[in-house]
Amino acid sequence: MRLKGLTPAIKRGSAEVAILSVLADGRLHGYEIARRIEKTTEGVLSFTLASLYPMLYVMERRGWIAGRWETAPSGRRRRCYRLTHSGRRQLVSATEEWKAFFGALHRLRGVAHA
Amino acid sequence: MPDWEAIIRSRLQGLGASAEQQAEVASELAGHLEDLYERARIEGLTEQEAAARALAAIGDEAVLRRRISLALRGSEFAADWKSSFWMPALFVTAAHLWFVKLSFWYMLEHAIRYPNGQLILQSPVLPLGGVFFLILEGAMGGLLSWSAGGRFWQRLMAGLSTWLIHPVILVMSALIELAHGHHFYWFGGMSLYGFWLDTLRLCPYLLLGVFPFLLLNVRRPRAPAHA
Repeated sequence: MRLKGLTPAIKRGSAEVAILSVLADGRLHGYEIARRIEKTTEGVLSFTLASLYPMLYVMERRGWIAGRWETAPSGRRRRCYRLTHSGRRQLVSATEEWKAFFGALHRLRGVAHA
Repeated sequence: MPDWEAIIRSRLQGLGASAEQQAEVASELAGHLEDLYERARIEGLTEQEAAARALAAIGDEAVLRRRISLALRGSEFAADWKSSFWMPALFVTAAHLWFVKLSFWYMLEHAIRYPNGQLILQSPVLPLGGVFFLILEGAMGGLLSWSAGGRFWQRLMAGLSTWLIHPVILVMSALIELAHGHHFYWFGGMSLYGFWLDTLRLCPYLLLGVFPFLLLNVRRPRAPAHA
């Protein structure tokens, strides 16, 4: 299922939570972030270059994540991102907000079926 | 394997970032494409098919360039209404007041003249100064919205913001007329109806200015937040 009908603000918010969540498990580079999210969400959330990297740069500027160039054993250089303390706080806060949001929708659905 | 860094560099030209920043972005994105390509090869795709899959991840290169440019410049890449419509509209509306004043001072007649009165250009139909300023206002609105990442409708509305405030003026004037019980006349004895018609008549000139910024990216599909 693709989330085509959602507003850009909701998509952006959910994508931010997704990125912060996968980085909570450890440092990853851009491709791994996209791949991990796509795999975990079974393709519901996926990224193009145009959606992933600008978001990473904005999140880095906000201080939620920090990027650093690393050289893999294969000799390849990749920019790896890690979650900062501020990012961890943001993840907790955003997760709570999303829980409240979906909880509210769930309650509304409950009312509709009462 | 294709030279991904060269491909990305060519597509990110005009990013508006420093050479060092541009090189870092190109290197990072090239690494992503390289990983995509290799994964496709492992899955059994031919070199051409794998390259095509990796290239498809770039999507609309203009969108990629603009979003990265906005992210690096410190603006949010999403087209929020504050920066993509309200701020350009406010700026253009403020500029419009000055342009109206300027056209009343210098160019209300159907001709543009040198300060010594010598004729430069003459129009039998419309006041040239007014038309020039309307085109300029449309272009300013479109450009400001586009540079803030505005979408098609935001660019259009920002370009037409001068015109969009007129219905508000019309309603307010009509309310004043109702309260006072007599007709209100505008500049040069123009009635509200005439004022409204004049506004509609001049609207295409605003469109003429905003048109180039509507064309940018409009024929290509935009990449959604997750695609």
